[in-house]
Amino acid sequence: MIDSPNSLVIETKSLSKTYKGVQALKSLNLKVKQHSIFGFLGPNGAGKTTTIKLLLGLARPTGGTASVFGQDALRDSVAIRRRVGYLAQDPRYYEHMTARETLRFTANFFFSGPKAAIEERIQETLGLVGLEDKADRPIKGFSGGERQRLGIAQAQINYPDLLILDEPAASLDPQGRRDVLEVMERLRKYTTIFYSTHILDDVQRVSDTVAILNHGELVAQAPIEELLAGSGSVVYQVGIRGDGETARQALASQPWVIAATLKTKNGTSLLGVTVSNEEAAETELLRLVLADRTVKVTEFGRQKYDLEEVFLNIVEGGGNGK
Amino acid sequence: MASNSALIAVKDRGWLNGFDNLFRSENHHWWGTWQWVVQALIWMAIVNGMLAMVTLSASKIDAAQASQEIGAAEAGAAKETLAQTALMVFFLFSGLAPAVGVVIIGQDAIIQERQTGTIAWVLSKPVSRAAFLLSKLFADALGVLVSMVLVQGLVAYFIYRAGTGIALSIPRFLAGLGLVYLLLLFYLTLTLMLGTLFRSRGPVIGFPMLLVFGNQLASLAPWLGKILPWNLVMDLGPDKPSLAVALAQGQPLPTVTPVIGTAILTILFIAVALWRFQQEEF
Repeated sequence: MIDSPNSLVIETKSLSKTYKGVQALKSLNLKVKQHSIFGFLGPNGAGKTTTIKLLLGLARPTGGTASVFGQDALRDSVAIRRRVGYLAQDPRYYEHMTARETLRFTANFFFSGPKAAIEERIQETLGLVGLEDKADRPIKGFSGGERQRLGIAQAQINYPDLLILDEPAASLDPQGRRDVLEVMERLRKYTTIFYSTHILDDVQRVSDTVAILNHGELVAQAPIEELLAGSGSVVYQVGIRGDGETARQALASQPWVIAATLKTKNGTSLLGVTVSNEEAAETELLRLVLADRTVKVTEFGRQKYDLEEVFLNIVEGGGNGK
Repeated sequence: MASNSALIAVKDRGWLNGFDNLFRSENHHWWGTWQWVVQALIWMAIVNGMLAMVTLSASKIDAAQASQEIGAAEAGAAKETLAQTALMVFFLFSGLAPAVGVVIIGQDAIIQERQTGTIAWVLSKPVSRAAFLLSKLFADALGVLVSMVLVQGLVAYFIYRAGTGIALSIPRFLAGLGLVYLLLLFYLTLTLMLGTLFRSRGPVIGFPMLLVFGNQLASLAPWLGKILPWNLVMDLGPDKPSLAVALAQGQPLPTVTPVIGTAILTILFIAVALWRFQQEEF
């Protein structure tokens, strides 16, 4: 059992998977802490779904190991699945069943009774995803959003210690996406959520930790704040009005400045200053700029990265997120 | 959000985890819908329809005897032949016709769930693969037993009695039906196994159908006739009734090799299906 909040719910060591000679996953080392909302990012075909299937025992690794709750994902698969809720990328259910029957069918894999308590759980879960009014309609008439919400409901029916969601908001309209993200945020305190996605806005909104997978390889894994702040050298941005070239040259000559760039657009300029010493930068940088009396500073701050920027840099540039 | 403490967790049943729930669900397809009635009526029309047509000839024999076209001895011999033919027709059609139904039912079990993607969903729950497969096998085997064997046997018993005036020994008749059921299980497990081996319906339906109607193959390879279920319901030769007819009439069995061969192959099919399904990735 997992007790400490820093305990690992998922851990993979050199996890690999090859399909017919194509390496879908290359030596993946992943660590997911308890009660985190872990965003698993990557372009299509990066290996996200493969990883999830390996964690659930639906596929066999060709190399390495995966453990969930400290148990082997292959050998102890059924025991793991007792404590996991899973929503597939393209969830499929028995079309003749209603939402309530689907949840009852799912609940009966976990609970043998009492009947009234199981029905209560089903009703509560229907409420969680807002499907009470459609509970007794056959699934075959459900929209994509309703199916997705049913998917979350069936994944949550056993109050799992780990929710694995494969692209939970991919097929949803903005309102559906918002609803799904709200449900995820609501569940955060009860469970660990491991979800794959390529919708970066969603990740930035709800995740606390992010891993980026590209061509089957893990290219970044960090708390989201760390990833957005960038890694390695620190960059400060100074927005100025006026000719900033003098200021740029003054900064470039400082020993703690690695690089100073100047971009001008529509009469305003943006100085980008890469530094090796943050303390020196915070003390001296602004003074050096303002020493040139012809410029006015309109903004100053440490550069924050947009997740999309980080993601594209990593995926397209093969870099480390900066 | 409440906790799980108010609920009783399902007990760990090892390699049968999830079986009860799946078996209940599979049974619902048979008994919670009209499926078993529809199946029973289809095969009743074909199997017992044929039997009824044959036994109706008995009235012609009686009419011929009444109009003194034939004598009492001739009529008795004709009735004996008729009784023998009726039993042969019943067991032959009981084996061949529902076998087609069994193949059609069996091919859907795995292929359809794989194609619709519901297998992966179910197997993401605490369900063993053996439980998934066996729940389908057992539920279909039960449905086949009731709608294709027992109901047909019950109706046939009374038609046969009414038509020929012969009351067969119930235990012996049930033993004959047992061989019919063994034959149907053979095709059910074969189809299920093929469903785990192939991804398209063609070979899953085609191969068993070839066997259902392929008794001529025995003339090319006589050993096939010894291990396959054909002779359970088909005559072994002129004046050599099928094993089911022999059992129903209380005659000694000329051979038990087809019974043993069919039983062993049925078990083998289940074993291969379980092994293959265990290896599969979803």
